[in-house]
Amino acid sequence: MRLLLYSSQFPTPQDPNGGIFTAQLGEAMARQAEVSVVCPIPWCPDTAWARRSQACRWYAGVPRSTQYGALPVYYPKYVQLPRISGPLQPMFQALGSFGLLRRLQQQGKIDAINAHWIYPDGVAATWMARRLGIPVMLTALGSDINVYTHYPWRRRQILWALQQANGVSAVSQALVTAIERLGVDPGKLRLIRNGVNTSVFSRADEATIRSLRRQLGLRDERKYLVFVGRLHPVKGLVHLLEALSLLHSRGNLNFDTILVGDGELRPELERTVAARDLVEQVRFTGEVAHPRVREWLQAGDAFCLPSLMEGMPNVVLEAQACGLPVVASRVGGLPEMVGPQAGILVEPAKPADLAEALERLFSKAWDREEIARAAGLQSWEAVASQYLAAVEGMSGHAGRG
Amino acid sequence: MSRVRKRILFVNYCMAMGGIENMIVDFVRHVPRDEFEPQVAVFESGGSLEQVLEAEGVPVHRLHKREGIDLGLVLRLRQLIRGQGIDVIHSHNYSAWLYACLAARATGNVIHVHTEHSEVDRSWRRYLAERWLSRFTTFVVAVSRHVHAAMIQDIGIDPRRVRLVYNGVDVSRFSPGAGRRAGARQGLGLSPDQVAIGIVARLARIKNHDALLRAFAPLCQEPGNRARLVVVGDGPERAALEQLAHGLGITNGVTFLGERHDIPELLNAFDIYALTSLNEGMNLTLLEAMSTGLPVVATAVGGNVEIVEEGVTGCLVPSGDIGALTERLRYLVNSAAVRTPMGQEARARVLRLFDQQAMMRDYLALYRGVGKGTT
Repeated sequence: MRLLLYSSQFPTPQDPNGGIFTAQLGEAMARQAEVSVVCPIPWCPDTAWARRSQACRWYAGVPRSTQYGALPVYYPKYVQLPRISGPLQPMFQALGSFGLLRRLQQQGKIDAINAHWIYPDGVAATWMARRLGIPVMLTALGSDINVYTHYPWRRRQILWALQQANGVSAVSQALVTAIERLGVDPGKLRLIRNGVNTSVFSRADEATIRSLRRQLGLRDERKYLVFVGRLHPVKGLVHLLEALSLLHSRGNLNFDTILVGDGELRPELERTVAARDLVEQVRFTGEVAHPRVREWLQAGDAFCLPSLMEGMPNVVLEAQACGLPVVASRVGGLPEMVGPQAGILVEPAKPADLAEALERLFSKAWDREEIARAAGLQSWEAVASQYLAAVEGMSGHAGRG
Repeated sequence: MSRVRKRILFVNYCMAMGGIENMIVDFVRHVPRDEFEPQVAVFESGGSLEQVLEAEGVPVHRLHKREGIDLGLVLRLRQLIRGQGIDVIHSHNYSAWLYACLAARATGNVIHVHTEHSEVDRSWRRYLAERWLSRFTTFVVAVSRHVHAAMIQDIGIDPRRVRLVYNGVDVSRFSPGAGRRAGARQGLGLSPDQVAIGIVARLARIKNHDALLRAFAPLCQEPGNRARLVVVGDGPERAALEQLAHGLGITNGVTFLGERHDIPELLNAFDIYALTSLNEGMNLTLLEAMSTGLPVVATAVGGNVEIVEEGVTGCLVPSGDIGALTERLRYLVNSAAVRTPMGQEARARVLRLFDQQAMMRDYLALYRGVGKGTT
C-alpha cells in the first residue's frame, strides 16, 4: 500500500521542531510501507514588505519539496487570508494541494490518505480524496475536536468530513468519546495512542544524571520541576507561576522550575517572574531541539503540565519514559496517562490546588521504574503498524445509520 | 423452489444464565423471522436458558462435547450444518469458534460470524490458533476497542475481517420510570431523602466490592449521612464482604440483597451506580444502569473507560485509589443537581451507542454478508 500522510504540522527546514511527532510517525510508517508526506504551507509574497513578518519569512523560505529521512515531503502553498479565511481555510488548502495530489496519484504514489488534524487538514483531505476516488482516514489530535467544533461553520465541515471519511482515528479515549458524541459510527472509529522514541527517552543511570545536571548548571542538592512546551496561554503557565508564588510567600518553595521552550507568552511570563520575586527559582531555557529535550527530562525531578486543554500530550509520555512523576491538569487524555502511581492530577486554572499538589509531589518518594512501566509506552514502529492496519481495514465496515 | 428464509445457527458452549447467553436469547428474539430462521447449538446441555429458547419454538441442538479435544464434535456439527442447510453461523468465544470453524470448512457458502467477548487469554498457542481460525471466518467481531486492538495487534488478525460492534441493551426494558422507582424504593426501605448507591455484580474477587465498602465507610460514618449502599448479587466473597462491612462498622448503611431477578426495578430504586471491578470487558449491567438514567462511579479499567464519559455521564476513578472513590461518591451523594443531568447524559449515551437495536442492525448486516471479501 502507498500511503499519503497529509498534515500541515510537519517539520520544515525553517522550523525543524514543528510537527515533530507527525514526522516520527511518518518515518516509522515509511519503514513498513511506501509513504509520502504533503504538508500545505500558507503562501506568502516574497517581497521586502512581507518579509517584515517572521511568519512570512519562514513560509516564503519553505522549498517545494524535500527529503526528510526516507520520506519524500511536498510543501504545496495555499492562500491564507489573515482574519478573513478562518472557516474557509480547508477550501483554500484543498485548492492549493489538489493539483499536487492528482499528479502524485497519476504517478501511482497514492492509494490512500491519512490526514492529521481533522480541521482544517482533514476536511481538505476528505474533499480531495473523494474527488480522487481514494479512501481517507482522519486522525484527531485534540483541539480539532475540542475547540473547533464550537464554531458553527467549522463544526459543520468537521461533521461532514467525519461522516464522509472511510476511517477516523483518535489519540485518546477521551477524544474517541467526544467523536462518538458527534454521531460518528463507532465501527469506523479507532483509538491509536501516540508513541515515544524509547531509544532516546529512557531512564538514565545516576552517573549520567549527575553529569547532565552539571552540564545544564543544575545544583546537586536542589530539586527541579520541568515544563516542556510552547509558552502559549493554553499551557496554563500563568497558573503555575501563581502557584509557585503562593508557595514562595509561605516560604515552602523548596524546588526550582525550568520552562523548556519558547513562545509568544515569554515576555509576559518573564515580567510575572520578576514581579513575584521568582527570578532565582524559575529558569527559561528558550527553544531546545527535540532530541535535547531528553537532557532536561533526565536531569529533572518532576514534570508539570498545567494546561487548560490537551489531547494526548506526547511530552508527558516522554517525561514518563524518563521516569518523572507528573503534576498535570485533569483535561483531555491526561486522566488516561497519569495514574495514582505516576503523579497527581488537579483541576485546571486553580493555582491553590496546583501549589498543594506540587508540595505533595515533592514530599513523596516516587518509584521511577514503576512510572515508566505504568505508562504503557509503545514505540513509533508499533504505532505506525496500527495506523497502517487501520488504513488497510477501513474500506469495509458495518455501517451504522 | 429454493428456501426464502436463511437458516442461522448460534453456537455457544452452553446456555446457562450469563451475559453472553442472555445476549443469544436476545439475538434469537430479534432476528427478523421473515428473513432468518434461528437455531442454537450447545456443546454442553442442561443450561436453564435452553427451555426459554425451546419455549420460543427455536430448535436447540445438544452436541454433548467430550472432555478434551473432541473430533467427533466437528463431524456432528458439520452434519448438523449440512443436514439443516445452515446459511449463517454465529459463534461466541474461543471453543465455539474452533469447532464451528472446523465444521464449517468445506460446507460450501456459509457465512461465519464470530464474536469475541473478552480480552483474549494471552498464550501464544491461542494466538496462533485464533489467527489461523480467523482466515476461515467471514467476520470477527470485537465488542470493545480494547478487544479490537488486541485482535489486530496482538493476535494479528487481518484488519479487513475485524469489526467493532458495541454490545447493546434493551433501552425500553431498562428505562427510568417514576412509578417503578417509588415501589422499588419502598421495597428496599429507602426514604425519599436517602441516596442509594447500588452495585449489581457477582460477589467475586475480580469485582472488588472490597474497595467499594472501604470507600463507602467514611461517608457512612459522617454525621447526617444520607447515603446507603445496596449490594445486589451473590458469590464466593459474600461471607468475607459481610464480615468486612461489620469490621468497618457500616452494617447499618449497607444492604446485601443476594441474587435478584428484578434488576430493572432495582436500578430504578438507586440514585448512583457503582462498579469497582479490577478488570472488565463490556459490562452489560453498567450499560443497563446508564440506560436507567443513573450516574455512574466506575474504575477506569477495561471497557469501562469506553462506556463512561468522565465528568459527563459519571466518574472514572483509578482502580485501587480508595480516596478518589470516596471523594467521587461524596460528590455525587451531596449534589442531586449534578446527578440528574449526569443520569440524563448517561441514558443519552446508551441510546446513541449501546442500543440493542443498533447492535442488531450491525449484526444483521454481517449475517447478510455486507462488506464480505472487501479489500
